[in-house]
Amino acid sequence: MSVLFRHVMTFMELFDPSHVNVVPAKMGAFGEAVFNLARKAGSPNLAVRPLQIACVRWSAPDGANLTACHPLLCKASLLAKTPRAALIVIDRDISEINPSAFGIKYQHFLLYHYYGGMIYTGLRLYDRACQFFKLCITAPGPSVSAIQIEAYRKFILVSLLAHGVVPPLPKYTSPSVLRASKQQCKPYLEFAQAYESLSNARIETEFKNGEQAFQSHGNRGIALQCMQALTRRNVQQLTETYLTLSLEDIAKSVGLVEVAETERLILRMIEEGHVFAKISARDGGMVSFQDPPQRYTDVETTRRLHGEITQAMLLENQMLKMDRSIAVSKDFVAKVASGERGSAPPSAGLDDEMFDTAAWRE
Amino acid sequence: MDVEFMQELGPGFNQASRRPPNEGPGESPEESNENKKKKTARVIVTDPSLDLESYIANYTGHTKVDRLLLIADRCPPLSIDAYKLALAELRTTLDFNRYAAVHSKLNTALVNAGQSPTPLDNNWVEKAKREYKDKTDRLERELKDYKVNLIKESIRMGHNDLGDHYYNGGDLSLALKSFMRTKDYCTFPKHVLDMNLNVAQVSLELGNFPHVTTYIIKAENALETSEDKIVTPGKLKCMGGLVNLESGKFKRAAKDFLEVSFALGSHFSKVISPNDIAIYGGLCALATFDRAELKSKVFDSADFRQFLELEPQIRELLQGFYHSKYSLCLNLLSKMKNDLYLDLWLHGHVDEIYRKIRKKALIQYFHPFLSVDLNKMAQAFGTPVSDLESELATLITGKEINARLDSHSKILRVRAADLRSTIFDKSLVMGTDYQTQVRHVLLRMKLVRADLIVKEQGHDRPDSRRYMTRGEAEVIGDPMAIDA
Repeated sequence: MSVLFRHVMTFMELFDPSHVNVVPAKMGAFGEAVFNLARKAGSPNLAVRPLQIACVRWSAPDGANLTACHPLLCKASLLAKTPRAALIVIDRDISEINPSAFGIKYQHFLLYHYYGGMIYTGLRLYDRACQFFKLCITAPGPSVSAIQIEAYRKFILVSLLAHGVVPPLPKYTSPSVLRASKQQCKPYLEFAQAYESLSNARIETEFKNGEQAFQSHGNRGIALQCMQALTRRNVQQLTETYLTLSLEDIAKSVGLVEVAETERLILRMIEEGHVFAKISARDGGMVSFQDPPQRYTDVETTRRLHGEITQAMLLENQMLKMDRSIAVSKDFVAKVASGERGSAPPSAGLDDEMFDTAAWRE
Repeated sequence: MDVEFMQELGPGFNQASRRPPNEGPGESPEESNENKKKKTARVIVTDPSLDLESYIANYTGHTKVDRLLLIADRCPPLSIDAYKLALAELRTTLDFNRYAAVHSKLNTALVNAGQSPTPLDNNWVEKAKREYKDKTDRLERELKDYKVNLIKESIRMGHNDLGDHYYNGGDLSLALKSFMRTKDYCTFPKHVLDMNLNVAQVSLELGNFPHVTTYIIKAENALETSEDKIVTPGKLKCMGGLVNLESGKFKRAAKDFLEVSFALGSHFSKVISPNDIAIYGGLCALATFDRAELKSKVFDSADFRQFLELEPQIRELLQGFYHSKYSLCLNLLSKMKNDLYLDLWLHGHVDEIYRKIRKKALIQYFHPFLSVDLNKMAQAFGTPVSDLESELATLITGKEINARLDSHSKILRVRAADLRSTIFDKSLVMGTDYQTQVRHVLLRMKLVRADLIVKEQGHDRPDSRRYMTRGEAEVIGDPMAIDA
């Protein structure tokens, strides 16, 4: 076994990407075989290293391409409980899609972003996880994949955990996904609604209602985390509203029973820098919240801003290039030309008056 | 929540008690559409300050009956009188169905009050029935003749007469149909205007509000050629205001009512009285306008000032609010509340409007200060400090007041705005958002270009099973379990 994997490693370290690009399906199958072998042998971590190298080398030099090995790596590292191993690959954004050279189907794309999102969730990088799930959910197409639904479920919970609200899906999400997600994710959406209202009782009931579903979809852990984060969110809300508040009142309004527990929670939050406050022992524990110290006053800020601006400009250029390439493409020109020749487009919408009277006469 | 609200507003507010909506007597079909649109709980008023006779003298036609029935339904002490007045009004029409229904209600009310019921005037009912049928037959026959002769104007008149007749008989949907049929026979702009006005008014009574809006717009378009610059536009504005009020768009309602010319007078008494315009407009304005708007649109409007003269209470209320005399305002409001619960259009929105006014008062009170002593503020509003505190907390959470509460020393303080940090926060977030968005969109386009889209592929559907079976999803399903 170990000999076999040594050979696999050697191959992964030495293969020539340009050769592999000619027979991407074979390479994909090989990756899958390696993964399956390791899994059958009961130690998926065996597959992590070879797949990692395969991904990096195959999509070299810039790592912008998605390959058939990407989702396998993510899955292997999830199974092996070594999520960090995949970071070297998934931290790079995919920006090129080339099915003929890298043997990918849409499932690869969906799975990669789904598993990637899970990895980031596990590493508590919720923003990035949301982005990955979103990419999976908004993949174009007329039908819906179960992967997208699973991703949407996790997306809801992770958004709640990270921001306390579920952002609406982008406009370009395919309508069938929207429809299916409304049907299939009812308990999640209801839970999210309750969560956004920040009312403890409602959230409890919705959690109880949805627990079965969460459990069977393997999402109970995140949902529980959401519940735990709720108290903290409530405390944070209080800092926005109050300057001073007694521990007792805090306990009451965040739904904790014990004052001592509240005190511990606030102390912890102060230590973590989530809350800026002082607890005075006077009057049976008065908490005074303070403003966060001034930020953005250092060189680091300027540097970061500068970096962001450069990035944005780069993207802008990319957009322009793309726009140009579309403007001169054969299809586009043909379409515009035919549009000009043809008659004016049919008027939008029905004449509402016609519609009205017709409805009334019926 | 409303009970709390009433307590907040101090004494004098607990006169109105609530009952679950299903406790009332059975509704006649005429009223059912009235109740469908009001989802709020029924409020039973036990000690109204309203003078029924003088109040109802402002109205004619259907709205008079509607209003009386609402009062009878909601206000036991006035119910017998109201039913009697409604019957008297109905006798002038041919609406025998409604007459009978109201009569039976009157008898129920009389029995409940320990009086003997009155017998139904069968002669009148029979007569009305006959008359109604005869007239229907006659008008239909005439219309048929007109149609044979193909004289446009006569056909239009025929439809119109039939519509009026149906309306008079209480058959609103038939009336609406008749009025709508006149559309094809209009020859003058005046006719178009009449048609639109009739349709809008009947739709309003039917509770078909989107329809009303459509026809108001049409009528306003037809208005340009009309010489009547006062009454018809006023009617249209009133109806528009009512529709907006009904759908909870108080600001637009206020604007509509404020544009009504005082010369409308009682021309529209079959829908609304000038007093109503003052009340509806005043309250809606109070709930939604800021100080500058109150001054420019309400106090400086010559027309609306005249309306306000009719309702001195509303005038005082508006002025009190403008001059920041909040406890006076709140007292006035609490005095008026019971009567408003008995108003045909307002009763479902009273609580909402009151909540808005109170919220605005709180915000406006705090506006000029850097810090406010909660005890003083509570005094000005006539509420206990603890209630005020929680009320303010909700306002702060809703980002309506930029301040923080010092619960220990009971002081409300303006939050020192750290604009610099905010702008940094905002722009950084915006920048990253933009970048991810652009990246996602670009990637998406590339996916489409490469034809890498989610679609079912014949034999292996449902497509995802092959790649992600349930079993696999569960093994690694909970990412929270992975983190080492």
